[in-house]
Amino acid sequence: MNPLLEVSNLKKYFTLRSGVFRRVGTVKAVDGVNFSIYPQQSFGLAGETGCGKTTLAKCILRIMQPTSGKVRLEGKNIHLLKGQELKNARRNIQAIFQNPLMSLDPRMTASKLIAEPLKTHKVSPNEELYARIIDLMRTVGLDEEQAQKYPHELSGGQNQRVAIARALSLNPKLIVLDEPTSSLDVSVQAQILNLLTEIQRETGLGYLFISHDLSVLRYFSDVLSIMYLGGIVEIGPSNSVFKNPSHPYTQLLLSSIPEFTLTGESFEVKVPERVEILETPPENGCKFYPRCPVRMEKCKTNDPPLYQIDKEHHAACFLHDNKPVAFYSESNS
Amino acid sequence: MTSSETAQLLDVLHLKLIFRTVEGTLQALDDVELHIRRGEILGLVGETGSGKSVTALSILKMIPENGRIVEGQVLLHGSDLLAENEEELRKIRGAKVAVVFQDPSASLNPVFTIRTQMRDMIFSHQGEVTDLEDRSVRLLSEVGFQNPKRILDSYPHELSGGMQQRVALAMALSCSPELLIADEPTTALDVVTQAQILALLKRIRDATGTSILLISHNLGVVAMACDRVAVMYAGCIVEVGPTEQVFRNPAHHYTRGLLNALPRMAPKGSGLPVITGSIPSLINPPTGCRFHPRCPSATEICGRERPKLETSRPDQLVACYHPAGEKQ
Amino acid sequence: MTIRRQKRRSESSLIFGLITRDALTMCGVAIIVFFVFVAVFAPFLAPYPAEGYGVPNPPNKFLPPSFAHPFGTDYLGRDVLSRVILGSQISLVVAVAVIALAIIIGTPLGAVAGYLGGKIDETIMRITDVFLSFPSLLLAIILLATLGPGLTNAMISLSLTWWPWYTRIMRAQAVSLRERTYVDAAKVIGVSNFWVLVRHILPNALTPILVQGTMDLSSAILAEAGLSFIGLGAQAPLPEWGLMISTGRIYILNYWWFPTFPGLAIFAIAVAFNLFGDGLREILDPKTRRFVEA
Repeated sequence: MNPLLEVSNLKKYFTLRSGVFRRVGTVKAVDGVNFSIYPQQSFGLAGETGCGKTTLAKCILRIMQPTSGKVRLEGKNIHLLKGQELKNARRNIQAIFQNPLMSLDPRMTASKLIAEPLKTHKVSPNEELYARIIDLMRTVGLDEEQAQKYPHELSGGQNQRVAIARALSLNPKLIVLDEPTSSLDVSVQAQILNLLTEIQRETGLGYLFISHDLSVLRYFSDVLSIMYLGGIVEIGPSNSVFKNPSHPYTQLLLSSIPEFTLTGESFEVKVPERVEILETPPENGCKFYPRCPVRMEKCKTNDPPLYQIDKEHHAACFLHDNKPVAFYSESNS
Repeated sequence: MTSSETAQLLDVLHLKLIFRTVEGTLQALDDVELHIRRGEILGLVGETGSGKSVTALSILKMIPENGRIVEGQVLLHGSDLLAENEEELRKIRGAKVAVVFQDPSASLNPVFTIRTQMRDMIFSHQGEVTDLEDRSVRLLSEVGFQNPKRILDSYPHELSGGMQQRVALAMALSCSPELLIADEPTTALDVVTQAQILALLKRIRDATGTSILLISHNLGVVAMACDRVAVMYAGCIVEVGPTEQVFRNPAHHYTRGLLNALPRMAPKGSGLPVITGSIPSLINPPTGCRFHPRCPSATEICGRERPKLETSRPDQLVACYHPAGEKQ
Repeated sequence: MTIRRQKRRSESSLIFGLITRDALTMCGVAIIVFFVFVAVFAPFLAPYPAEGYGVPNPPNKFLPPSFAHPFGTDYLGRDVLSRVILGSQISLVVAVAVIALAIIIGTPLGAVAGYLGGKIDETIMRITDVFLSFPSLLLAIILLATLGPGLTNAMISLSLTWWPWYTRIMRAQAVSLRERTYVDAAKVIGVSNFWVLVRHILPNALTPILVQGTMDLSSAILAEAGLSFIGLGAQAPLPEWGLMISTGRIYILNYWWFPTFPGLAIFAIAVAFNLFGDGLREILDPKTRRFVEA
């Protein structure tokens, strides 16, 4: 099966300048990311603020230009597309953002918001437009009477449903979700997750689910990747990563997740008690070096590649350097 | 029957708070009752509109302009804080009862060094002490810094979020308060730092005996750090008890629904059980028990009269006419 | 089961409610409404319309205020009240036209500059800076000198000196709005830059423009009166208030009424627009208006 989305060696660097001429440094927001998403697959990307996940999402959605690397949607590099070809490609990849009050134009009603993609791509003739909008609203669990409401008149959950209806209107093949439930109450989060699962079951689309909440990711994703300071440090089938977390950062994350206290699970790991002074990672070494409880001398001077822990489960840590190096192959198109 | 009278530090009784808004009168808090014991960490958990943050603000009478406490008392060692004047309250705030907020920049002034700010904090409550530097260093090491002097020389923006929050905690603890109110102290922090801060709060309590009121929307955070938990819904306290007990065996149907909605051990794609309906408007809240429109076990009396907090299991209070049965 | 009985009020009725609550703003609104009414029905309200438009009546010159002539008569015997009433038409039309034109020219330029950034932004803003570096009235005078005096030319000149302010406001708004998530969302959908500007940026940026516009209305009236005062704007025999003050200037000591009443009219309308603009700004600022969520 051919992948829906292929991200190959994606890099996005920001140059910091002091004044007009002086280059002070480079922020490597995304530093060589590789992964593929297949149809009907939920791909989870776990990471915390500052790890580069939002920048990555923006490059994938083509609202930001990467420094290097490729993003291929159904085989075509979307950063090379222009004009009508680009517009057509956009129909296949849509997005849902974290805070619906910020991702929905406050001056547009729900029906206008859902109509916008339909009108932009001239999907339905005008007579059928309203019927299609109401149909989409019903699919996401909204009533017709909410069509004329503005975002500030609807609750967080309802607004997110509007955002989902909008994303679905073009029948995309892939939806990128950037922390879609993080600003919602727990009870509403459950409703939205159920809705997303049901939609996937009925339409077979793929998801890129970005979140810092590992308990949600465990429930929702088939494949899970862990991102740290611009790179993917661990990736594999969700069950495998949870059962056998192989990168020290993953282990640290899992032991810190408060939700797991509720399930009585514990991930046996030392949580470092010392407070990090803001140390920058060593120039050529492993990015996790300053915080790693099990770091070795070679971690300071070498950046570990992804080692193959298991068939599909890889982790970038020298602890596993006795295993084969996993290598990422791009599919030919 | 209210909870036992042992070593009570703070009692909130019959607290009723309204907000006057353009859209009408918002019934924010209705007959809220809360007891914080000496040396305990009490979690106050709830979703949007539950009133958890305003409850905390009410304790210090720091409510916004359009809010009004209609009735109720906040007893600190038996004397009512709500009856005090501004002058007295200023002495109590920061000294006896300290607060740490979600956003550390709410407590830290960006244009002054940490040293200056700690000095201001200590001087304002304890006068011009002579051992200022030693005290500051000691406070900062208590919150986990290994190089306190370097921190004292820094400005807030030079520190990470977690570090800023630790400084905020150090400042809050500078006057050895009896009660520390922490309003979503870790929500803006990354998960690993969050775990560290929660562990720190427990250590502080163990070392100094300060009681902590920890407010959060995150049940896991409360489970990690709190001895007892009070669950709030739409301005009312619906359940109180030891954390592990309440979360393992919730008596109130809202608590139950909330715990079930968490994607904890559910297999992928199985469909999470949801609480039907949505959080009600507080301008026109439901009559009787505010949860009754969404409750699977509601009967006629639930819509007529609000249930009071009563003991259902040992040391567990619930405001419900039909509390859920015990799990075997 | 409880039903949500209270219907949420629409945003405009909310604003209306807030406007009517503030006494000073209401004063401003009342005066403005009054002036608009007078301006619309001026020919019918003026007791001596012919004289109002300029037909002289020499036997009546310099009559003090009386029942027949509440504001007295001027140096040509014309009823001052009629002249002031008819003059309101000119002042209001001029004010609205000047500001409207300035907004129409300035806003799109600012939107494009702010949203696209880069060289386009630089070019537009430098041109704006050039205009802004001239004292505005001086610029208007220079323009009028080339165009020739007259009311219409005065309006055009004033618009041409006023647009840069709106470009600046709009550009600042566009720069901040282009970072909004809903702009990203529109791009993901595939909306073209043009439609992003028109549908998402412009409508959300209108508030400061509207507030500034309202306050500028009073400045526009004053500016126009000033130009007419120095003889470059309205020409005789138009009943323009500034012109009336100018011609009446020398008579202020002996026949105080005919420069004074037009002056009071200018004062009243300027204050009215200021009060309204101030009140509008406070109301539209979400911080002063939001209600608290528990």
